[in-house]
Amino acid sequence: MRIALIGNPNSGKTSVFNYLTGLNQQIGNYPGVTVDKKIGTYRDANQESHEVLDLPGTYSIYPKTRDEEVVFDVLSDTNSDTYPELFLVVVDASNLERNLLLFSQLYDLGSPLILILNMSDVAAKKGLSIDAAKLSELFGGIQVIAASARSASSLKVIDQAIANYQEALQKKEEVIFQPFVAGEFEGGLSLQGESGQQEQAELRYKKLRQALSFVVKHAPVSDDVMQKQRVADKLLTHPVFGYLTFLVILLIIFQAIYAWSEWPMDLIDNVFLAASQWIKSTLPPGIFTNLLAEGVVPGLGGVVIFIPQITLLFAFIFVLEESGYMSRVVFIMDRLMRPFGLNGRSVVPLISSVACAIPAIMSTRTIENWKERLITIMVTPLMSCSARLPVYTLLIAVVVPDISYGFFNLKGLVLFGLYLLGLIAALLVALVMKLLIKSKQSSFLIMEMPTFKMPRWNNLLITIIEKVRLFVFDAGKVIFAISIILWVLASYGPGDRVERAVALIEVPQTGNLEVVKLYEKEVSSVMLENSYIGILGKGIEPAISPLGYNWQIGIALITSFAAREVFVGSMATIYSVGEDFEENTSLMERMRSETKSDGSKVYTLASGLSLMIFYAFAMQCMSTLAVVLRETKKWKWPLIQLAYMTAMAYLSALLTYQILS
Amino acid sequence: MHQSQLSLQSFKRTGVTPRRDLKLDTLQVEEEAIIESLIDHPEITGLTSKLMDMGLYPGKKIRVIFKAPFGDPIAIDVEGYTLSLRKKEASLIQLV
Repeated sequence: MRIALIGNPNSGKTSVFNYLTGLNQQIGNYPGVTVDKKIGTYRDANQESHEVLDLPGTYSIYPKTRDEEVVFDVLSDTNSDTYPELFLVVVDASNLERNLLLFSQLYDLGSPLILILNMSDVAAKKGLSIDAAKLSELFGGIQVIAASARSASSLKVIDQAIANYQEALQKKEEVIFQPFVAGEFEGGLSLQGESGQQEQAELRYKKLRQALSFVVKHAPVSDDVMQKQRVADKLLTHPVFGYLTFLVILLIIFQAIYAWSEWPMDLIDNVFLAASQWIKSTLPPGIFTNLLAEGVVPGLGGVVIFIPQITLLFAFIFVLEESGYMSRVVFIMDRLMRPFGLNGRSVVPLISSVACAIPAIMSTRTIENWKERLITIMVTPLMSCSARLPVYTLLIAVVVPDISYGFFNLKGLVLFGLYLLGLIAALLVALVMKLLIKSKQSSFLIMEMPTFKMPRWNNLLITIIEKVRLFVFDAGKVIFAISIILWVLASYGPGDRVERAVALIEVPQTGNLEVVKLYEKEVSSVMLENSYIGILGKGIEPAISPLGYNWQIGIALITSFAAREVFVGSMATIYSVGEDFEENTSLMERMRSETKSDGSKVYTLASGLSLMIFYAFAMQCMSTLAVVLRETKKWKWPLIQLAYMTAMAYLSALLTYQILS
Repeated sequence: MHQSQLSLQSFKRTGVTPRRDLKLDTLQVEEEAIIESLIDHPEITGLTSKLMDMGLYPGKKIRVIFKAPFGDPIAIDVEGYTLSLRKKEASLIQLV
């Protein structure tokens, strides 16, 4: 059976979806649009499997946003093979009237429904008691069940309801259908004019209000819970305290990510280093062993090492959203974002892009106004994403001194500064775009503010597993492939160029270990210099030396244009090709000791910061460009983005290096 | 307060019965009112219908509960749930 989940945003639909499907979830696309299609598999008590579709949250069947259009399309395509055979309508029981608008529309469409009164616990706290039997009576005797997504045991009633529905289906019981509001869907589902939709909604609400006076009983409760919510709201939206809280929360998140991800990352780094050493020492020497030890294993390590940071970032964003705090941020930021041609809702993509610009750009669909949405898309990649984090982490560790100022460490502050820089750049570019892009449509912001609640930790786990899986398989593929290509490019050169260059070095005639080591080191660096990639890196050296970079960094820059996270992997490959793995020098130590021909250090504060700023601004992510193309449907926008970001990166890095050195 | 004074002045000048022109954007925090009608926005199609979908229909009791810094947007209580909207959108809601 094909089951669809439908309901208002914030009704707890996702919890029901997670309960039914667990980890059997996939994300696909609806044809023609870029809205995520979440599908999962539900196994009932008889081990029969059913397909569950999680539709985007909507307040009415008449769409106002692109996400809501998907729901309308699914509902109007009644003849399709994929039309759901059962709709589970999830409603917030503490807000019954508004939630039932959508439900009553679905009912009048004649769709097969089960009504799930979610958040019954919240309703009870508000002193509401709902007569489910009476509610069922009003809507032709369909199943109405009370549940609370906060406790998995209370969701077991859903299994029973689905089983009951199937049983009733087999008995083919005839039910006389009596529409709740007659007339609206007599000719099937169609978009009526705005005034028609409005009239119908008003009619429905008035009828619902009347009907619910018999269904919902209000018991007097102490105002304590609501009072606490109000106090929290007043504090969090306070002109001083509100912004201060937001800033402190962001600061804590970055400190935590920096501090907590350090040891698992070191651990992963060491495990992969040990694996490379083990392969080199155990397998017979040859091309295959080299590919494995110098290409494949470091490549895999380059993917896995991101997992601690991605997990932490997504966990924090999840908590901010689930707790209800994010909508308060939208609320206090809206007025501040407007002068920049943005909208309070732009804050969510901007914050999410701290994890990854791709889902962030996709989340701009909640912005109704096209101009504001386009500007948000154009500036979102300037926010420092998690792929930049390893670049920053590595470079900060190499060039920034270890000094503490009270609670804060200088390294942490530099990291925070880089994120702040991304935000400032995003706002300034938005301001410029606001003046350049013409639009007649004016914008609006009407948003529900959910009550504050504890995040559901079960959902956190599923969300994180989903994100990490997406990253490992999607981004991982690219990083892994590029690592191998890199190894090949770094190990071979055109014709016999490498051999000839090596032959020019004088072979030491003594058995002195020091001299032999020196010779081996020279050979490996000459080999790299004459490989395909060395030639490429040297080719761009004149352009990048004013920024303080050498040709090795040039190689990392070139490879990073596919995906910036490749930087660390490239550095590792560049410095490990031909490296003696018995010598347990980490990449950081190797970089710290790297010197120019005149003996001065390559990685100084000036060149390190210049490089970090280059990475902060440069558009080095093919996947983001692809998503921008998909969302804007025009080549123009990703190309403009690529051009302005690269120019900005180059000029700012140049300025940084020239001032500091 | 300010607005009713203005309309009183215009009443004195023109002699027409003053219509109490109370819109949501002029309501102070903790003030309560009932929605009389929704005014169509001249430029944004779908806005009034969106307000209606969110549960703001004539006859509904609403109360301003808090405002963002700079007084915009505002948050209102709609018989048990909280909605936020900009002053511009609030000015489309005619109250009694």
